Amino acid sequence: MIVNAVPPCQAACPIQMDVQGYVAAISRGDLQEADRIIRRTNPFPSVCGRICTRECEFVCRRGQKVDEPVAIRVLKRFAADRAESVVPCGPEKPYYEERIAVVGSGPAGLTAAHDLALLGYGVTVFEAEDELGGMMTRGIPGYRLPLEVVRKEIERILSLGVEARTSQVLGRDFTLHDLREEYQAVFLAMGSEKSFCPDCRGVDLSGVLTAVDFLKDISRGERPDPGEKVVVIGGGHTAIDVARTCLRLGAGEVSVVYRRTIDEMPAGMDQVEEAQEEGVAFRFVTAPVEFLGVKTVEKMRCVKMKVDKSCKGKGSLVCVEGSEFDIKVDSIILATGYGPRTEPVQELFDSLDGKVEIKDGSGATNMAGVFVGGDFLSGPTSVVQAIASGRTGADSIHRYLRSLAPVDTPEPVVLDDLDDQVAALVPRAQRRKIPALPVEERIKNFEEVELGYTLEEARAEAGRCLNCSAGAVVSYECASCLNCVLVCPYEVPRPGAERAEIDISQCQACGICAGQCPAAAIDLGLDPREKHREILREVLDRAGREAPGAFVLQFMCDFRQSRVPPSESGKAVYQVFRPGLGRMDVYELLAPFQAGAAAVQVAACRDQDCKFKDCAGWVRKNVKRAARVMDDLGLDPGQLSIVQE
Amino acid sequence: MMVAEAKPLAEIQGMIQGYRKILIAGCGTCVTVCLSGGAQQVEILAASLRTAGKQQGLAWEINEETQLRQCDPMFVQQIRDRTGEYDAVLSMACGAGVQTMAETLGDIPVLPALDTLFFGGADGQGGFVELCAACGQCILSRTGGVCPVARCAKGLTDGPCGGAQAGKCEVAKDTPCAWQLIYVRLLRLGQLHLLKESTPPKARRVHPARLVREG
Amino acid sequence: MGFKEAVESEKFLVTAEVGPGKGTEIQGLLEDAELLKDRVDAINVTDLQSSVMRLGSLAVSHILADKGIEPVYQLTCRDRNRLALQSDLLSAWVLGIKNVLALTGDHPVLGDHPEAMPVFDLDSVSLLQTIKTMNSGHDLAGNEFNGAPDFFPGAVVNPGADAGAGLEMQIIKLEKKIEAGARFIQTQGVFDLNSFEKFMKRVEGFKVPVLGGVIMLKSAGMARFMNSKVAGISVPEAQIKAMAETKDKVRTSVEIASGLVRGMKDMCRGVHIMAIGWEKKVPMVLEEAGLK
Repeated sequence: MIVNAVPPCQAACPIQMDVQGYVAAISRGDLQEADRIIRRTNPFPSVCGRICTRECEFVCRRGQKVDEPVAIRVLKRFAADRAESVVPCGPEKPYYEERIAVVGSGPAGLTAAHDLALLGYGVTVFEAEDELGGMMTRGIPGYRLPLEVVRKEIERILSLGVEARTSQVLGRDFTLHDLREEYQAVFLAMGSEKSFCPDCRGVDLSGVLTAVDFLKDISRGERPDPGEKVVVIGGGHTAIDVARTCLRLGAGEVSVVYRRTIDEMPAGMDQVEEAQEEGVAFRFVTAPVEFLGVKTVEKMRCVKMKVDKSCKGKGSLVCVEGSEFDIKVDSIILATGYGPRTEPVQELFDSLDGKVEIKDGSGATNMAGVFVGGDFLSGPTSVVQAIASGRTGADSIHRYLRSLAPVDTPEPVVLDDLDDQVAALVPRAQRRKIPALPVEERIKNFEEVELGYTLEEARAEAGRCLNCSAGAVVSYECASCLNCVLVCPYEVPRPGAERAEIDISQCQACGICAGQCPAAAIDLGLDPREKHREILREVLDRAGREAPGAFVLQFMCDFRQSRVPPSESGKAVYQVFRPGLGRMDVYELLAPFQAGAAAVQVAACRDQDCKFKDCAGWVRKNVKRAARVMDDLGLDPGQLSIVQE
Repeated sequence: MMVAEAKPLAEIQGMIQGYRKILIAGCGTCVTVCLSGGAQQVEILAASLRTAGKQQGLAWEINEETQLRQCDPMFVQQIRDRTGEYDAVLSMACGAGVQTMAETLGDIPVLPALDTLFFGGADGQGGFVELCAACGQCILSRTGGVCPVARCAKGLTDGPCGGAQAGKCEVAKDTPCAWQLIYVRLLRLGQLHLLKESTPPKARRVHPARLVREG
Repeated sequence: MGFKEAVESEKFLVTAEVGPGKGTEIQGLLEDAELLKDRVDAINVTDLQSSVMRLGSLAVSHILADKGIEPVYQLTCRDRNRLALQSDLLSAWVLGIKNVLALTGDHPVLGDHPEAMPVFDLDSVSLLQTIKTMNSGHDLAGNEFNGAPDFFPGAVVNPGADAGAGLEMQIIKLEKKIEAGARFIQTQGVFDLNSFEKFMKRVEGFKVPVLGGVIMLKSAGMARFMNSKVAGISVPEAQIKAMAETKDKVRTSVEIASGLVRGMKDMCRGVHIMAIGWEKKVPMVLEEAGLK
C-alpha cells in the first residue's frame, strides 16, 4: 500500500502542478487560494487555462474509471481570470550581484526570468520581436488566447524588476560572446520557429506561406486575404490554428491535409472538433507531392498514404501508388514542423555530435554559464513544457552561480489506478459543458471562443474531483475496532495486521470513517482534524462574543452551492464549511450548544445530489444521535436540524 | 473485549454534582472498540456535560484525556501527576478500568461513566454480542464453538429449554437460541453425538478470581 | 393405589394440575383438589409458574399429601442453587411428598419480578441426576445421608418444539432425562393429535410412560395468545374458530379437551390435564372422554 503518492494529474503535469489543491480551493469558492496554489509553479495560469495541452485531464482517475475527467484546464482559467491575484513581491533590488541574460521571451524564457528574479537576480530579457511573449503573443490566434491575457501575465513578471529589450536579434544586434562579457549567466530560449518545408516542387510559389509567418502577421493585427480555397498542411495545433484563422479571414473553403490518421494528430481532439464545428474540412492520410501554378499557386497535387505497420512505432508511411489527385487552391499554408534556429549560437552545437545539453535535463551547455531551454532545446512542444523547462533553467543557473550541487529529485510515486469495484460505487456526475460562442458568431471575428465557467459552474465542476490521495490516514492511535471497515461506503478500509488500513489510492475522501472513528485516529488530507477543530473553535468564540446565547450555527458543505433558507428568527447566523458533512462527528453538532448557540443547522445534501455515497445518510444518523444527547440533557432537540433549500 | 455502554447523562450529572473540576478519562482499548469510551466519546461527553453545566449554572471545569488502557496501573500512573488538581475523575472505562484508576490515583474519587455489560465480540456496525461468561471451565469443544453458558439465557449446558420459537430465545426475541446454533454447528461438523453427552453441573467459580503466572 | 403404582401398572393415567396463588388463601385450591381427588391419579402442584411469585409448591404439595391427595411436587432450578434444591427435596420427603417433577423453570424476566437473579445452578437433567443420587443415599458432594428419600421422579418434554433442530434436541434431552432417572413424562399441551402421534412414534422405544398434556381453552383470545407466546403450542384454527363462535365456551372447551383425551387413549399412557383455573370442569372432560 502506497502511503505517499501523488495523484496522476499532478504526476502527468510537466510542472507537477498541485491540481488537486487548487481544484479543492475552487470547489469551496476560495479563488484567491486557488490562484496562489497555481502560481506557486506556474507564472502563466491564464495562458495555460486556455491553451494547455492538459496532460492532467487524460490521466484523471475520474475520467479513467468513473465518467469523464474533471475539466481541469477550464478551472485553472476560471481561478486565474477571477482571482484578484496578488502581485508577486520580489526583492526591491536584486539580492545577488550576478546578472543574467535571457534570450527569447516565450513561456520558457519568461518563466526563467520570473523564477530568477524571485530568487534575487537581476535579469534582462532579449526579444527579437517588438513584443514579449514568443509564441504566446506571436503564434496563437486571439480567438484562442487573447493578447491582453498574455500581456497581463507578462506585466506581472516585469513588475518583479525584470528588464526587457525588444527587437533585439541574437546574431544581428548582439552575440553570445557579448552576453557572456556582460552577464554571469545566459539562458537561451529562442524557441523553435524555423519552419521545415516539405520537399516538393513549387514551395517558392507565391501563395505558399509558412504558418509561423502567417500567424505572426495576424498577431500584429494584419488581416491578409487568403483567397477562397485554402489548404493547411500539417497535423499539429498550429495547423488547426491557421485553418480556423483563415475561416475568420473570410476563406470559403478551408481544409487541413495531414499525412496520417486522425488518431495520430498531435493537435488536441477538442481543437479538431471546434475546427470541424466551424467548418474546417480534414483530409487524412494525404500528403502533398507538388504545388502547381504559374507564379502563384493554383493547384496542389496530393497522394494518399498508408501506414506500413511492419515498422516500429507509429509505422512508416508509404505512398499509395497511382493515388495522385489535384486540389484547386488559392493559398497553401505550411504547418509541417519547426526546429530551432541554431546558426547564431552554432558554437554550442559543434561538440557532442550536435547535442547541445551536456547533462540531460539541466540545460547546461559545454560553455560555462550558458544554459538552453524551452522549445529551442526540445523542439516544438507545449506552453506547459516550456514553463517546465524555464523552471529547470532558472534552477540550474541558480545552482551554477551559487555552486550548489544538483539535487536528484526522485520520480514521484504515482497513485495506483482506482479499483473498478470502488469506481462503481462513486456517484456519477457529468462534466460541466464549457460555454463557448456560437459557431456562426465566432467565425466572423477573432473574439475568444471559449467563455469560461460561472462561479456556480466552476464550483460544481471542481466538486467532481475525486480528491485522489487526499483521503483518510489512520494514525497509530487506531484501536483496530474496524468501524471504518463497516461504515465506508466505498469498501476501502481493510483490517490490517496491526490496525485498520485505508488504501490512500482508493479512498474517496468522504471522511465518513473519520466521523465514526471512536479513537479519533483517522485524519483527512482534505481537512486535517486539528485545522477544522480550530476553525470551529474560532467561529464559536466569535459567535459567543458577538451574539451570546442567540446565534445560529450552520454547517455548510464546500461541495454544495445551494443556500440554506434565510434565518427566520432574526438571529445572527455563523457558518462553518467542511468538504462534505458526512465526515462530521456528534461532538461537532453538540459543541455549538456548549458555546451558547440557539440553534444548529446542518445544510446537508439530498441523497441524490451528494458527491459522496451515503454521505447524507450519515449526516442524518449523526444528527439523530446528537438530538438524543440533547434530549438527555433536557435541551430541545428541535434546536438541531437539517436544513435544505 | 469488554463491552460497556454509557450511563444515562442524568445519572452522570448526579454523580458529579458536588465536584467542580473534573477529568473525563477515556480508555483506548475495549471501550474504544465498542464505541463507548474512546477519545471520541470522551469529547462528546465533555461537550454534553459542559452544556448541561452551563444550563444549570454550575461552574464545572471539565478536561479530557484518554489512556491507552485504564486497567493497567502503569498506564494510569502516567497521568497521576496531573490528576492532583481535579476534584473527581469520570472514567469512561469498564469496571476494571475504573477500579484500577481509583486504586492508582489514590485520594481522588473515580466515578464510572459507563455500565459494563459483558465480554463479547463485534456483530456488524455498532453491534456487539456477549460470547463468553468467563465460567472458568470451557466446554466449547463439545458445543460446536458456541457457548451455551454465555449465550443461553439460562446458561443451560444439557440442551435447550424448549422455549425457543422459530429459533429465537423466549427471553429475547431477537436473540438466536444458543442451542439452535449449537445444533447447526454440530450438524455441520458431523458431531451431533456430542449432544447426547451429559454435562455435570459446573463447579461455580469463586469471586474475586486471581491469576498469578508462576515465574 | 399410589401414583407410582399406577404408573407401574397398565392403567390409563390421568393427572391434573393446581396452581398455588399469590397470597395465603388456599381454600379454593383445596376444594378443586378435593373434587379431583378420586378422578385422577395425582395432582401436579406448580412451582411459581411462569416465574410469577406465588405460594410455594412444597407447602401445597405437603397439604395435599396430608389430605390424602397424591401430589406431584414440581421443582424448578430457577430460584434455588444445588444446596437449596437438595435441602427442599429432603424437606419434601419428610413432609410426605413422593413424586417430583424436575423442571428447569422459566426465566425470571418472563414473570412479575424480572429483576430477580436467575439461578439455574442445575438444570432439569442434573436435577434428575441429583434426585437419583439422593435416592441412593448421598448428596451431590458424595456425603452419605442419615436417612435417605425414595422419590418417584418425572420430567417434561415439549412435543411441539420447532420442527427440525428444536424437536430433535427435545428428543435427545428427553433421552438424557430418562437416563438421569425420569420415571414418567408429562408433556406440554397438545392440540394436534396427528403431530403428537408422530412424536410418540419417535419416543416409542424409550420405555417410560408418557402423559399427553391437555390444556383447557377458555377463549379464542387465550388460544391466539398461546400460539404467539408459548413455545410449542399451536392451537389449530378450527379450535380457535369454535371457541370464538360458541355461545357456551365451557361446553366447547370441554368438547375440545375431551376429544383430545379420547384421541390420546391409543397413543400414550395417559393424560395430564392443565385446566388453568377451570379445575372444576376436569371431571366433565373425563366423563366426555369416556374415562370413569
